[in-house]
Amino acid sequence: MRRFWIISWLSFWCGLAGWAQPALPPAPEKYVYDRANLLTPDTRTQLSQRLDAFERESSAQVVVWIEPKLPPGTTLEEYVNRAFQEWKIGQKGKDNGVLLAVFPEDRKMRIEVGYGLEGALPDALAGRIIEQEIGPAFRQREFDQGVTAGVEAILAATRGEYRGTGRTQFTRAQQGVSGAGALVGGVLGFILGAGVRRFQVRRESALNQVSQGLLGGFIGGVGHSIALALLVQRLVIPAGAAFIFTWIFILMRQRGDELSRTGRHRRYSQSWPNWNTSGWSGSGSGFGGFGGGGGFRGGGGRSGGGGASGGW
Amino acid sequence: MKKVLGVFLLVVVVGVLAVGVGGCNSYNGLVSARQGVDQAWAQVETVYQRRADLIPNLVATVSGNANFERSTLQAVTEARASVGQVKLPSGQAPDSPEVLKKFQSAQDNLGSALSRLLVVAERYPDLKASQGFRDLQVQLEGTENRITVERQRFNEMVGAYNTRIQRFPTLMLARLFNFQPKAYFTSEAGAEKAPKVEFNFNSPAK
Repeated sequence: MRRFWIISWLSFWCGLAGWAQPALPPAPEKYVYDRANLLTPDTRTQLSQRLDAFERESSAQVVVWIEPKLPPGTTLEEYVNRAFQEWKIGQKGKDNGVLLAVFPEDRKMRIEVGYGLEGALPDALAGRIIEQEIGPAFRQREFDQGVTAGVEAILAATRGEYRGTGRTQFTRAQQGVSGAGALVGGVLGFILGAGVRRFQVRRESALNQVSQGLLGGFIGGVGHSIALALLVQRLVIPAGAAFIFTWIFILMRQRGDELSRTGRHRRYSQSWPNWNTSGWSGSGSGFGGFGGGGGFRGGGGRSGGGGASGGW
Repeated sequence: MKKVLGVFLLVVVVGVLAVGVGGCNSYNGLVSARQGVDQAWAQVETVYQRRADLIPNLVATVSGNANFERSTLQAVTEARASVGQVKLPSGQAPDSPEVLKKFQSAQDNLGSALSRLLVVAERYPDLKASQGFRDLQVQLEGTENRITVERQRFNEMVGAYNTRIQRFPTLMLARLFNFQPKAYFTSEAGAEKAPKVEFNFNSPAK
């Protein structure tokens, strides 16, 4: 489901832009995004854990991306920079991300540096890491060793530039989704609870209850899509969903006013305590289950094309 | 009669308010679009400045190599000097395409002088092997890449702004408050190809 959202979102933007630029793979979910199976699973897990810990410690995001080869019609620099932008590596406002991209079939690689780390990891240093740490190992086909040495050198250069919060963008997103899910669930529970309460007190106007139930279900659906959208894309979809949600809520309120005008005001207010007891039955939908080094989630970082390219 | 007048007045007031609020909104939108263009321009200037700042270091490193071709070095220094002579409005993106064109052609001259220097340097193995020169080479490449990125972003911002001020309702506001369209960077004919370098080692042309 998550992947579906990501893909549809990407294809939406690509379609909108109408550019003939080669498409990017879906955004990574882990720090080591090895689409060419170049590294051994052990190395992948180790590096992921290392980079997860590094983000907690320093708030900087370092991502390793291995793609079999560059698509035709693009350049190494353009493609990697676009991936960096699209995946939002590094934190928003700090732009403290680094993307190490390797294209084994082309024997090319690039270290792309976000704006915020250009001082700690200048081009010349990135060039030296490629030339002295990664390149020699790659020439001997020691890919695990080369990537590990490169990552270590990048971490050594960027350590201490920013202070971490003990959390990653990924855990933050999880908490956010849980919070939103709980809130939406709570609202849904409140509405359902009010409906049930009214049903108990006065068995009339079946149409009213059916429509309440339908609306409740609809709001629940909207809520779920908000929760999903919050995870995938934090602007367009939630804005639209929130808009619809707000309008539904306003319509509901108007209904409530009408009801109270016809003399049901007291019973409506009687259902308030209910809000607390049976109302908050909604639960947040957490997205867990990414073991082995934690997941990655872009924080909104940007890059202006800093870093260095090289080959082996 | 009084009621009709009241309703009429209410409609007028609501209409004026709606136009006022809408107008404020699109005016604010115009201002932030122009601000976006100016910010993108500041980035462009920064990356060009970065390249210019690398040159003294590059010249020092290269001329340390005693027999390095003088004419190539001179071309770089001259191109750099001519870049400084292009006068630009400070703090904002240039409106006039001519000014931007002059700026661009001076910068492009410097760019091609630099890439010629890098090509010529291939013939000096000692120079090429020195770490100082290799670092400079990476820095120059990085700067060129930054220039490409920031120029592209600048063009995108200008595109969004220019579209905005030429669309219908906003068009009137843009005229009223004198929002001028901004100039784009253009890619020069053949600029997408790497500069061609002729080596003539007394060999017959193929």
